[in-house]
Amino acid sequence: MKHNSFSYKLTLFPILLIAVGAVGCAEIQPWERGELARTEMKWDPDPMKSALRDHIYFSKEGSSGGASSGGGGCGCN
Amino acid sequence: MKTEKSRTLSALTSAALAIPVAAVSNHVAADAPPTMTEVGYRYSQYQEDDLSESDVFNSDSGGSTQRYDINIHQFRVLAPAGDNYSVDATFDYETMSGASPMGTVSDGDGGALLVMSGASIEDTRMDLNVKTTRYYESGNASVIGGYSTEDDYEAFNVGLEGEKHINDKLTTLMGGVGYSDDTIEPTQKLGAIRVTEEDKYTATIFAGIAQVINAESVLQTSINYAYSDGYLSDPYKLIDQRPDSRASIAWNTRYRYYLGSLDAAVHADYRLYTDDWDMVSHTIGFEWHQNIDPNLRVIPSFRYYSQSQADFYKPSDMQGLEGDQSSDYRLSPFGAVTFGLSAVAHSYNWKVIVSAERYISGGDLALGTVETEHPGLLQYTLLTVGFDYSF
Repeated sequence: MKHNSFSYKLTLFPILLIAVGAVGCAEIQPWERGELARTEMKWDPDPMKSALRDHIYFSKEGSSGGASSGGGGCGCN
Repeated sequence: MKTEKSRTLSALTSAALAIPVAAVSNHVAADAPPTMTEVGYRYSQYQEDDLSESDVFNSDSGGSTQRYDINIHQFRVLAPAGDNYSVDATFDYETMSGASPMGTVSDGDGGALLVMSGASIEDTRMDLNVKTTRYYESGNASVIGGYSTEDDYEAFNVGLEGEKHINDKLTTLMGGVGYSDDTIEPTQKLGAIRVTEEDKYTATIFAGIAQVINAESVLQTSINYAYSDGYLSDPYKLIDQRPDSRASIAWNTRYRYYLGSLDAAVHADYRLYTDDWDMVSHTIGFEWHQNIDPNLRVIPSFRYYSQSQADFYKPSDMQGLEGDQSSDYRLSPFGAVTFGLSAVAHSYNWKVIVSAERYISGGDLALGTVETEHPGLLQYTLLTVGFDYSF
Protein backbone atom coordinates (compact mmCIF):
# COMPACT_ATOMS: atom_id res chain seq x y z
CA MET A 1 0.00 0.00 0.00
CA LYS A 2 1.35 3.41 -0.92
CA HIS A 3 0.06 6.85 -0.25
CA ASN A 4 3.14 8.92 -0.88
CA SER A 5 1.49 11.54 -3.09
CA PHE A 6 -1.07 12.06 -0.36
CA SER A 7 1.80 12.48 2.11
CA TYR A 8 3.48 15.20 0.12
CA LYS A 9 0.23 17.12 -0.08
CA LEU A 10 -0.14 16.79 3.65
CA THR A 11 3.42 18.01 4.16
CA LEU A 12 2.10 21.40 3.11
CA PHE A 13 -0.38 21.38 5.97
CA PRO A 14 2.02 22.42 8.78
CA ILE A 15 3.64 25.04 6.52
CA LEU A 16 0.23 26.52 5.82
CA LEU A 17 -0.65 26.51 9.50
CA ILE A 18 2.51 28.41 10.40
CA ALA A 19 2.01 30.87 7.54
CA VAL A 20 -1.57 31.57 8.63
CA GLY A 21 -0.42 31.75 12.23
CA ALA A 22 2.38 34.23 11.50
CA VAL A 23 0.11 36.50 9.46
CA GLY A 24 -2.65 36.28 12.03
CA CYS A 25 -0.47 37.00 15.06
CA ALA A 26 -1.41 40.13 16.89
CA GLU A 27 0.41 41.87 19.72
CA ILE A 28 -0.60 39.92 22.82
CA GLN A 29 0.29 41.66 26.06
CA PRO A 30 1.51 39.50 28.95
CA TRP A 31 -1.66 40.21 30.96
CA GLU A 32 -3.74 38.96 28.04
CA ARG A 33 -2.16 35.52 28.14
CA GLY A 34 -4.05 34.16 31.13
CA GLU A 35 -6.08 31.62 29.16
CA LEU A 36 -2.88 30.27 27.58
CA ALA A 37 -1.46 29.56 31.05
CA ARG A 38 -4.28 27.16 31.93
CA THR A 39 -3.27 23.58 32.71
CA GLU A 40 -5.55 22.21 30.00
CA MET A 41 -3.79 24.44 27.43
CA LYS A 42 -0.34 22.91 28.01
CA TRP A 43 1.25 20.85 25.27
CA ASP A 44 1.16 17.89 27.67
CA PRO A 45 -1.22 18.49 30.57
CA ASP A 46 -0.47 14.99 31.92
CA PRO A 47 3.14 14.02 31.08
CA MET A 48 2.84 10.54 32.66
CA LYS A 49 -0.18 9.74 30.52
CA SER A 50 1.58 11.01 27.37
CA ALA A 51 4.70 9.00 28.22
CA LEU A 52 2.74 5.76 28.60
CA ARG A 53 0.78 6.36 25.41
CA ASP A 54 3.96 7.13 23.46
CA HIS A 55 5.61 3.99 24.83
CA ILE A 56 2.66 1.81 23.76
CA TYR A 57 2.44 3.32 20.27
CA PHE A 58 6.23 3.07 19.90
CA SER A 59 6.02 -0.65 20.80
CA LYS A 60 2.96 -1.58 18.77
CA GLU A 61 3.16 0.52 15.62
CA GLY A 62 5.74 0.89 12.87
CA SER A 63 6.53 4.58 13.28
CA SER A 64 7.37 7.01 16.07
CA GLY A 65 8.95 10.38 16.82
CA GLY A 66 7.95 13.59 18.59
CA ALA A 67 9.27 16.92 19.80
CA SER A 68 11.78 15.39 22.17
CA SER A 69 15.22 13.84 22.25
CA GLY A 70 13.57 10.42 22.63
CA GLY A 71 14.35 7.62 25.05
CA GLY A 72 15.71 4.11 25.00
CA GLY A 73 14.11 1.30 23.07
CA CYS A 74 12.50 -1.81 24.45
CA GLY A 75 12.25 -5.50 23.63
CA CYS A 76 8.47 -5.18 23.40
CA ASN A 77 6.68 -7.62 21.14
CA MET B 1 -17.55 51.91 56.04
CA LYS B 2 -15.89 51.43 52.69
CA THR B 3 -15.90 54.21 50.16
CA GLU B 4 -16.64 53.64 46.45
CA LYS B 5 -12.95 54.28 45.68
CA SER B 6 -11.65 51.72 48.17
CA ARG B 7 -14.16 49.12 46.93
CA THR B 8 -12.86 49.61 43.38
CA LEU B 9 -9.27 49.34 44.53
CA SER B 10 -10.10 46.20 46.49
CA ALA B 11 -11.79 44.62 43.46
CA LEU B 12 -8.83 45.44 41.23
CA THR B 13 -6.37 44.03 43.77
CA SER B 14 -8.39 40.80 44.02
CA ALA B 15 -8.52 40.47 40.26
CA ALA B 16 -4.76 41.02 39.97
CA LEU B 17 -4.06 38.41 42.62
CA ALA B 18 -6.29 35.94 40.81
CA ILE B 19 -4.05 35.99 37.73
CA PRO B 20 -1.84 32.92 37.90
CA VAL B 21 1.87 33.66 38.17
CA ALA B 22 2.52 31.67 35.01
CA ALA B 23 0.10 33.87 33.08
CA VAL B 24 2.41 36.83 33.50
CA SER B 25 5.20 35.00 31.76
CA ASN B 26 3.92 32.73 29.06
CA HIS B 27 2.11 29.48 28.63
CA VAL B 28 4.61 28.25 26.05
CA ALA B 29 7.14 27.68 28.85
CA ALA B 30 7.56 29.17 32.27
CA ASP B 31 11.13 30.30 32.81
CA ALA B 32 11.30 29.44 36.46
CA PRO B 33 11.45 26.19 38.38
CA PRO B 34 8.18 24.93 39.86
CA THR B 35 7.44 26.57 43.19
CA MET B 36 6.25 23.32 44.77
CA THR B 37 7.37 19.69 44.69
CA GLU B 38 4.95 17.45 42.82
CA VAL B 39 4.69 13.71 43.25
CA GLY B 40 2.58 11.52 40.99
CA TYR B 41 1.54 7.91 40.62
CA ARG B 42 -0.38 6.06 37.90
CA TYR B 43 -1.50 2.46 37.79
CA SER B 44 -2.49 1.13 34.37
CA GLN B 45 -3.79 -2.15 33.04
CA TYR B 46 -3.04 -2.81 29.39
CA GLN B 47 -4.88 -5.78 27.91
CA GLU B 48 -4.72 -7.04 24.34
CA ASP B 49 -7.74 -8.93 22.98
CA ASP B 50 -7.33 -12.67 22.47
CA LEU B 51 -6.87 -13.93 18.93
CA SER B 52 -9.43 -16.02 17.13
CA GLU B 53 -8.39 -19.70 16.89
CA SER B 54 -9.10 -19.59 13.16
CA ASP B 55 -6.27 -17.01 12.76
CA VAL B 56 -3.68 -19.17 14.54
CA PHE B 57 -1.98 -21.89 12.50
CA ASN B 58 -0.63 -23.81 15.49
CA SER B 59 -3.50 -23.40 17.97
CA ASP B 60 -3.72 -27.23 18.25
CA SER B 61 -0.01 -27.63 18.93
CA GLY B 62 0.85 -25.21 21.70
CA GLY B 63 0.37 -21.88 19.92
CA SER B 64 -1.50 -19.53 22.24
CA THR B 65 -4.42 -17.31 21.29
CA GLN B 66 -3.81 -15.17 24.36
CA ARG B 67 -1.78 -12.01 23.85
CA TYR B 68 -0.14 -9.58 26.25
CA ASP B 69 -1.50 -8.32 29.54
CA ILE B 70 0.70 -5.67 31.15
CA ASN B 71 0.42 -4.00 34.55
CA ILE B 72 2.21 -0.66 34.72
CA HIS B 73 3.15 1.38 37.78
CA GLN B 74 4.44 4.89 37.05
CA PHE B 75 6.04 7.12 39.67
CA ARG B 76 7.11 10.73 39.20
CA VAL B 77 8.77 13.46 41.28
CA LEU B 78 9.13 17.00 39.95
CA ALA B 79 11.03 19.20 42.39
CA PRO B 80 12.67 22.63 42.39
CA ALA B 81 16.40 22.57 43.14
CA GLY B 82 17.86 25.90 44.22
CA ASP B 83 16.70 29.09 42.55
CA ASN B 84 17.21 28.07 38.94
CA TYR B 85 16.95 24.30 38.62
CA SER B 86 14.36 21.55 38.67
CA VAL B 87 14.64 17.77 38.69
CA ASP B 88 12.01 15.65 37.00
CA ALA B 89 12.41 11.94 37.73
CA THR B 90 10.17 9.12 36.53
CA PHE B 91 10.27 5.43 37.28
CA ASP B 92 8.13 2.82 35.53
CA TYR B 93 7.68 -0.76 36.66
CA GLU B 94 5.90 -3.11 34.25
CA THR B 95 5.05 -6.80 34.52
CA MET B 96 3.84 -8.56 31.40
CA SER B 97 2.60 -12.01 30.47
CA GLY B 98 1.13 -13.58 27.37
CA ALA B 99 2.11 -14.75 23.91
CA SER B 100 3.59 -13.17 20.82
CA PRO B 101 3.45 -13.88 17.05
CA MET B 102 6.55 -15.77 15.86
CA GLY B 103 5.72 -15.73 12.18
CA THR B 104 3.06 -16.24 9.55
CA VAL B 105 2.24 -18.91 6.99
CA SER B 106 0.09 -18.64 3.90
CA ASP B 107 -3.45 -19.99 4.33
CA GLY B 108 -3.41 -21.05 0.66
CA ASP B 109 -6.20 -18.64 -0.16
CA GLY B 110 -4.35 -15.32 -0.43
CA GLY B 111 -4.41 -14.73 3.32
CA ALA B 112 -2.06 -15.56 6.20
CA LEU B 113 -2.21 -17.44 9.49
CA LEU B 114 -0.22 -16.66 12.62
CA VAL B 115 2.34 -18.93 14.19
CA MET B 116 2.15 -18.09 17.90
CA SER B 117 4.47 -18.75 20.81
CA GLY B 118 3.19 -20.61 23.87
CA ALA B 119 1.49 -18.54 26.56
CA SER B 120 4.55 -18.73 28.75
CA ILE B 121 6.28 -15.42 28.10
CA GLU B 122 6.71 -13.40 31.28
CA ASP B 123 8.88 -10.35 31.67
CA THR B 124 9.48 -7.39 33.94
CA ARG B 125 10.56 -4.00 32.70
CA MET B 126 11.95 -1.11 34.73
CA ASP B 127 12.62 2.31 33.29
CA LEU B 128 14.26 5.23 35.13
CA ASN B 129 14.49 8.68 33.56
CA VAL B 130 15.90 11.86 35.10
CA LYS B 131 15.64 15.28 33.52
CA THR B 132 17.46 18.22 35.11
CA THR B 133 16.49 21.66 33.83
CA ARG B 134 18.27 25.00 34.24
CA TYR B 135 16.04 28.08 33.83
CA TYR B 136 17.26 31.34 32.31
CA GLU B 137 15.74 34.78 31.79
CA SER B 138 14.23 33.79 28.46
CA GLY B 139 14.67 30.05 28.08
CA ASN B 140 15.75 26.82 29.64
CA ALA B 141 18.14 23.93 29.04
CA SER B 142 17.78 20.29 30.11
CA VAL B 143 20.05 17.30 30.49
CA ILE B 144 18.33 13.92 30.31
CA GLY B 145 19.56 10.49 31.31
CA GLY B 146 17.71 7.19 31.30
CA TYR B 147 18.16 3.48 31.84
CA SER B 148 15.72 0.63 31.21
CA THR B 149 16.07 -3.08 31.75
CA GLU B 150 14.11 -6.22 30.92
CA ASP B 151 15.00 -9.91 31.20
CA ASP B 152 16.44 -9.81 27.68
CA TYR B 153 16.90 -6.11 26.91
CA GLU B 154 18.87 -3.17 28.25
CA ALA B 155 18.92 0.46 27.08
CA PHE B 156 20.84 3.58 28.09
CA ASN B 157 19.82 6.96 26.79
CA VAL B 158 21.03 10.55 27.15
CA GLY B 159 19.69 13.80 25.76
CA LEU B 160 20.10 17.57 25.69
CA GLU B 161 17.12 19.86 25.07
CA GLY B 162 16.63 23.60 25.14
CA GLU B 163 14.09 26.37 24.59
CA LYS B 164 14.63 30.05 23.78
CA HIS B 165 11.85 32.63 23.94
CA ILE B 166 11.96 35.54 21.54
CA ASN B 167 9.60 38.17 20.20
CA ASP B 168 8.37 39.28 23.64
CA LYS B 169 7.90 35.60 24.53
CA LEU B 170 5.33 35.16 21.79
CA THR B 171 7.66 32.80 19.94
CA THR B 172 9.63 29.89 21.35
CA LEU B 173 12.43 28.11 19.54
CA MET B 174 13.24 24.59 20.72
CA GLY B 175 15.68 21.87 19.87
CA GLY B 176 17.58 18.90 21.17
CA VAL B 177 19.69 15.84 20.55
CA GLY B 178 19.44 12.34 21.96
CA TYR B 179 21.37 9.09 21.91
CA SER B 180 20.31 5.58 22.91
CA ASP B 181 22.44 2.45 23.20
CA ASP B 182 20.42 -0.79 23.32
CA THR B 183 21.46 -4.40 23.86
CA ILE B 184 19.32 -7.49 23.36
CA GLU B 185 20.17 -10.92 24.78
CA PRO B 186 17.33 -13.18 23.67
CA THR B 187 16.04 -15.90 25.96
CA GLN B 188 17.27 -19.14 24.41
CA LYS B 189 14.96 -22.04 23.67
CA LEU B 190 15.83 -25.63 22.80
CA GLY B 191 15.44 -26.16 19.06
CA ALA B 192 15.31 -22.45 18.20
CA ILE B 193 18.28 -20.78 16.53
CA ARG B 194 18.61 -17.31 18.03
CA VAL B 195 21.35 -14.73 18.24
CA THR B 196 23.03 -14.57 21.64
CA GLU B 197 23.69 -10.83 21.99
CA GLU B 198 23.18 -7.92 19.60
CA ASP B 199 23.39 -4.13 19.84
CA LYS B 200 21.93 -1.09 18.19
CA TYR B 201 22.17 2.65 18.71
CA THR B 202 19.78 5.44 17.84
CA ALA B 203 20.70 9.10 17.41
CA THR B 204 17.96 11.74 17.38
CA ILE B 205 17.89 15.43 16.60
CA PHE B 206 14.88 17.74 16.64
CA ALA B 207 14.06 21.41 16.15
CA GLY B 208 10.79 23.27 16.47
CA ILE B 209 8.99 26.55 16.90
CA ALA B 210 5.95 27.49 18.97
CA GLN B 211 3.94 30.63 18.32
CA VAL B 212 1.28 32.40 20.37
CA ILE B 213 -1.32 33.23 17.73
CA ASN B 214 -3.74 35.20 19.91
CA ALA B 215 -4.99 35.26 23.50
CA GLU B 216 -6.72 31.92 22.98
CA SER B 217 -4.48 29.82 20.75
CA VAL B 218 -0.94 28.54 20.27
CA LEU B 219 0.68 26.47 17.55
CA GLN B 220 3.84 24.36 17.60
CA THR B 221 5.57 22.60 14.76
CA SER B 222 8.74 20.52 14.89
CA ILE B 223 10.92 18.22 12.83
CA ASN B 224 12.51 15.11 14.31
CA TYR B 225 15.21 13.08 12.56
CA ALA B 226 16.25 9.69 13.93
CA TYR B 227 18.90 7.28 12.75
CA SER B 228 19.22 3.71 14.06
CA ASP B 229 22.15 1.44 13.33
CA GLY B 230 22.79 -2.17 14.35
CA TYR B 231 20.56 -5.16 14.97
CA LEU B 232 17.01 -4.04 14.10
CA SER B 233 15.49 -7.50 13.54
CA ASP B 234 13.29 -9.45 15.94
CA PRO B 235 15.23 -12.49 17.29
CA TYR B 236 12.05 -14.28 18.41
CA LYS B 237 10.58 -14.52 14.91
CA LEU B 238 11.05 -17.72 12.90
CA ILE B 239 12.23 -15.67 9.91
CA ASP B 240 13.08 -11.99 10.32
CA GLN B 241 15.87 -10.14 8.60
CA ARG B 242 15.74 -6.36 8.45
CA PRO B 243 18.21 -3.78 7.16
CA ASP B 244 20.89 -2.82 9.68
CA SER B 245 20.00 0.86 9.62
CA ARG B 246 16.89 3.01 9.55
CA ALA B 247 16.58 6.75 9.01
CA SER B 248 13.27 8.48 9.72
CA ILE B 249 11.75 11.94 9.73
CA ALA B 250 8.69 12.88 11.79
CA TRP B 251 6.97 16.23 11.37
CA ASN B 252 4.75 17.09 14.33
CA THR B 253 2.29 19.97 14.49
CA ARG B 254 0.28 20.71 17.61
CA TYR B 255 -2.46 23.27 18.17
CA ARG B 256 -4.18 24.39 21.38
CA TYR B 257 -7.29 26.56 21.42
CA TYR B 258 -9.21 27.80 24.46
CA LEU B 259 -12.95 28.20 23.96
CA GLY B 260 -13.95 30.76 26.58
CA SER B 261 -17.68 30.47 25.97
CA LEU B 262 -17.59 26.73 26.72
CA ASP B 263 -14.68 26.82 29.22
CA ALA B 264 -12.96 24.09 27.20
CA ALA B 265 -9.58 23.60 25.54
CA VAL B 266 -9.24 21.87 22.18
CA HIS B 267 -6.06 19.95 21.33
CA ALA B 268 -5.40 19.05 17.69
CA ASP B 269 -2.19 17.22 16.70
CA TYR B 270 -0.88 15.90 13.40
CA ARG B 271 2.24 13.89 12.60
CA LEU B 272 3.63 12.96 9.23
CA TYR B 273 6.27 10.23 9.30
CA THR B 274 8.45 8.80 6.57
CA ASP B 275 11.56 6.61 6.56
CA ASP B 276 14.02 4.82 4.30
CA TRP B 277 12.16 1.52 4.80
CA ASP B 278 9.58 3.17 2.55
CA MET B 279 7.07 3.50 5.36
CA VAL B 280 4.80 6.54 5.52
CA SER B 281 2.37 7.20 8.35
CA HIS B 282 -0.20 9.81 9.33
CA THR B 283 -1.35 10.40 12.90
CA ILE B 284 -4.16 12.76 13.85
CA GLY B 285 -5.16 13.39 17.46
CA PHE B 286 -7.99 15.37 19.04
CA GLU B 287 -8.71 16.01 22.69
CA TRP B 288 -11.50 18.07 24.21
CA HIS B 289 -10.65 19.28 27.74
CA GLN B 290 -14.03 20.28 29.15
CA ASN B 291 -14.21 21.99 32.54
CA ILE B 292 -17.40 20.82 34.24
CA ASP B 293 -16.86 22.89 37.38
CA PRO B 294 -13.79 24.47 39.04
CA ASN B 295 -12.67 21.07 40.35
CA LEU B 296 -13.59 18.66 37.57
CA ARG B 297 -12.43 18.26 33.98
CA VAL B 298 -13.61 15.62 31.51
CA ILE B 299 -11.50 14.79 28.44
CA PRO B 300 -12.83 12.76 25.52
CA SER B 301 -10.14 11.97 22.94
CA PHE B 302 -9.78 10.46 19.50
CA ARG B 303 -6.71 9.37 17.55
CA TYR B 304 -6.43 8.12 14.00
CA TYR B 305 -3.32 6.38 12.66
CA SER B 306 -2.49 4.93 9.25
CA GLN B 307 0.78 3.43 8.00
CA SER B 308 1.96 1.95 4.74
CA GLN B 309 4.09 -1.20 4.79
CA ALA B 310 7.88 -1.42 4.99
CA ASP B 311 9.32 -2.28 1.60
CA PHE B 312 10.64 -5.70 2.74
CA TYR B 313 7.42 -6.69 4.53
CA LYS B 314 5.96 -10.06 3.47
CA PRO B 315 2.42 -11.10 4.46
CA SER B 316 3.71 -14.65 5.04
CA ASP B 317 7.21 -15.93 5.78
CA MET B 318 9.12 -17.18 2.73
CA GLN B 319 11.67 -19.92 3.42
CA GLY B 320 14.85 -19.65 1.38
CA LEU B 321 14.22 -16.09 0.17
CA GLU B 322 17.43 -14.08 -0.22
CA GLY B 323 17.63 -10.63 1.37
CA ASP B 324 15.53 -8.78 3.90
CA GLN B 325 12.07 -9.92 4.89
CA SER B 326 9.75 -9.63 7.88
CA SER B 327 6.12 -10.60 8.52
CA ASP B 328 5.90 -8.46 11.69
CA TYR B 329 2.40 -6.91 11.91
CA ARG B 330 4.07 -3.61 12.93
CA LEU B 331 5.61 -3.38 9.47
CA SER B 332 2.35 -4.29 7.69
CA PRO B 333 -0.08 -1.78 6.19
CA PHE B 334 -2.91 -0.90 8.58
CA GLY B 335 -4.95 1.83 10.18
CA ALA B 336 -6.02 2.27 13.79
CA VAL B 337 -8.36 4.36 15.92
CA THR B 338 -8.18 5.08 19.65
CA PHE B 339 -11.18 6.33 21.64
CA GLY B 340 -10.47 7.67 25.10
CA LEU B 341 -12.25 9.22 28.04
CA SER B 342 -10.54 10.73 31.10
CA ALA B 343 -11.76 12.55 34.17
CA VAL B 344 -9.55 14.77 36.32
CA ALA B 345 -10.75 15.90 39.75
CA HIS B 346 -8.43 18.62 41.04
CA SER B 347 -7.83 21.16 43.74
CA TYR B 348 -4.95 23.61 44.25
CA ASN B 349 -2.50 20.90 45.38
CA TRP B 350 -3.96 17.54 44.36
CA LYS B 351 -5.34 15.79 41.33
CA VAL B 352 -7.07 12.43 40.84
CA ILE B 353 -7.14 10.90 37.36
CA VAL B 354 -9.27 8.10 35.91
CA SER B 355 -8.93 7.17 32.26
CA ALA B 356 -10.00 4.49 29.76
CA GLU B 357 -8.87 3.94 26.16
CA ARG B 358 -9.84 1.50 23.46
CA TYR B 359 -7.54 0.83 20.47
CA ILE B 360 -8.77 -0.91 17.33
CA SER B 361 -6.61 -1.62 14.28
CA GLY B 362 -7.35 -3.20 10.92
CA GLY B 363 -6.54 -3.21 7.24
CA ASP B 364 -9.83 -1.53 6.38
CA LEU B 365 -8.92 1.44 8.61
CA ALA B 366 -5.85 2.28 6.50
CA LEU B 367 -5.86 5.26 4.11
CA GLY B 368 -5.05 3.08 1.10
CA THR B 369 -6.26 -0.36 0.06
CA VAL B 370 -4.78 -3.29 1.97
CA GLU B 371 -4.75 -6.49 -0.06
CA THR B 372 -3.79 -8.87 2.74
CA GLU B 373 -4.66 -7.81 6.27
CA HIS B 374 -2.20 -9.09 8.85
CA PRO B 375 -4.01 -11.53 11.19
CA GLY B 376 -1.98 -10.26 14.17
CA LEU B 377 -3.26 -6.67 14.19
CA LEU B 378 -3.99 -5.49 17.70
CA GLN B 379 -7.01 -4.45 19.68
CA TYR B 380 -6.41 -3.40 23.27
CA THR B 381 -7.94 -1.70 26.30
CA LEU B 382 -5.97 0.61 28.60
CA LEU B 383 -7.34 1.57 32.01
CA THR B 384 -5.53 4.06 34.28
CA VAL B 385 -6.04 5.49 37.77
CA GLY B 386 -3.66 7.84 39.53
CA PHE B 387 -3.00 11.02 41.46
CA ASP B 388 -0.68 14.03 41.66
CA TYR B 389 0.06 15.84 44.92
CA SER B 390 1.98 19.09 45.41
CA PHE B 391 3.53 20.34 48.65
